[in-house]
Amino acid sequence: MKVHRFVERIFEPRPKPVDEKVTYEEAALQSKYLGSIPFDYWSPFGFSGGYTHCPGGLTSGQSIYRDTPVYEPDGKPRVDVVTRNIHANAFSVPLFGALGAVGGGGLGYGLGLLLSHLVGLPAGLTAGVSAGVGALGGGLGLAGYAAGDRVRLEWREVPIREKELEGYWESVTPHYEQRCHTTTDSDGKSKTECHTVQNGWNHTFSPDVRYWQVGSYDGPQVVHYQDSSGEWKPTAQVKEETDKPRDP
Amino acid sequence: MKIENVRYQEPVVQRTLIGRKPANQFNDNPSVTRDYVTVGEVLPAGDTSNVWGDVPLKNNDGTPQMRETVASLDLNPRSPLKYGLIAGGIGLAVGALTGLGFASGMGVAQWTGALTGGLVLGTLAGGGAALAVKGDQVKVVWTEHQITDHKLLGYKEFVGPGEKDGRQGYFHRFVPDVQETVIGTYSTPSAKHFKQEARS
Repeated sequence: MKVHRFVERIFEPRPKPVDEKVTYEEAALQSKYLGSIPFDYWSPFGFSGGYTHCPGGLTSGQSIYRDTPVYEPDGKPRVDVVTRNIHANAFSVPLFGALGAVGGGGLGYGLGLLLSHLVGLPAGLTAGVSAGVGALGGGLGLAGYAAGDRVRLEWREVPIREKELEGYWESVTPHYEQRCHTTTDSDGKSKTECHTVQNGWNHTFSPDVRYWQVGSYDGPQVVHYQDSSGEWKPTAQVKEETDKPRDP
Repeated sequence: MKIENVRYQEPVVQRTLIGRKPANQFNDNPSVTRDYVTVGEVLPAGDTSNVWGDVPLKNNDGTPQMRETVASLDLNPRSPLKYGLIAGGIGLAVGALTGLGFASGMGVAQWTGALTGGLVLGTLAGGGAALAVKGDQVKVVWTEHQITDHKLLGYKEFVGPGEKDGRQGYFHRFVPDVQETVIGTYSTPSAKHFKQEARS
């Protein structure tokens, strides 16, 4: 019965997508210059590296910009009314099925080869059967997962963050070059030989930007969840934060 | 250098507190209390938040206050000599390096390859750039902008499901309804490069 329901679900029409026009207040942001860090450079020496603490950064070098809040005269972050169209679909059963089949088939093939090596079975047959089983299992598994996927629009409190440049890291790595030289033998034939040699060091710099929360707004978020289990699994799409929180 | 200071009038606009509305809430109530509340009605109990808008300052007769501003505009036409030299220099360097690379493969001396490549690409790039800017002229153009006043008329309430601090509930968003009214216009100057059309 369960198998019957599973197969039915895979062939059900795709669930209703989210397609809504929403109005809300969103943080007004501006690109702000936080300071500078040194330019990357090459040097014959591999000294230094590590962390340099310098709040506000240097006065010249690579400029570091981040989106930071705009403030109202009362000191609170500014929010503007915006209207956006939100559109999102549930996961695609054919796409997830194909991905699962490719992944499962590859894994099965590798395991089949390993098994044939350990047990002494014919490699081609074992790997082929194992790849087939893996592809079927992976395809059905991910197709079933996608078939149970639903989407809906939810709301979340989104933090508004102020940022500052606290310092920078210097990373020192060997600089490699390829050097070639051509030799001509007594028959007049040329031969080019290339080899890789280390020539000095690359010094690269990355900013240490810290943030702290100065306010929040309520923003839309598309949420995926499994129909059968009712398990909520937000997958979207809070902007990835690459900076770090400020030390308390 | 021909830098012209062009005077023009622009409105004095201030970020102004134009009213208040209820602060957004998160609770278990899935329904909207009132779709729309106009300014002047009593705000519900609870936190409120300020509504700000860009408001032009006005004279006693209601017209927008203007102030004089000066824009420094560069009205120099692009020089074929300058652009030709810059592009020619870049072309010369790129051509010389390319010629140097191809020289040994073509069986000519390296300096011959570099010189030929540099001269050819330098002349092409320099000549092309000089031709492209030949006949350039500059004029002052004026762009009209609207002066917009902002007034809070009321607020709308929207409700949507969500999660806060690990708890499912409903976000009540109170979105201000701000009326925008055009109360005048003003123009700002900028420099525009153009080429004289050939007369037939």
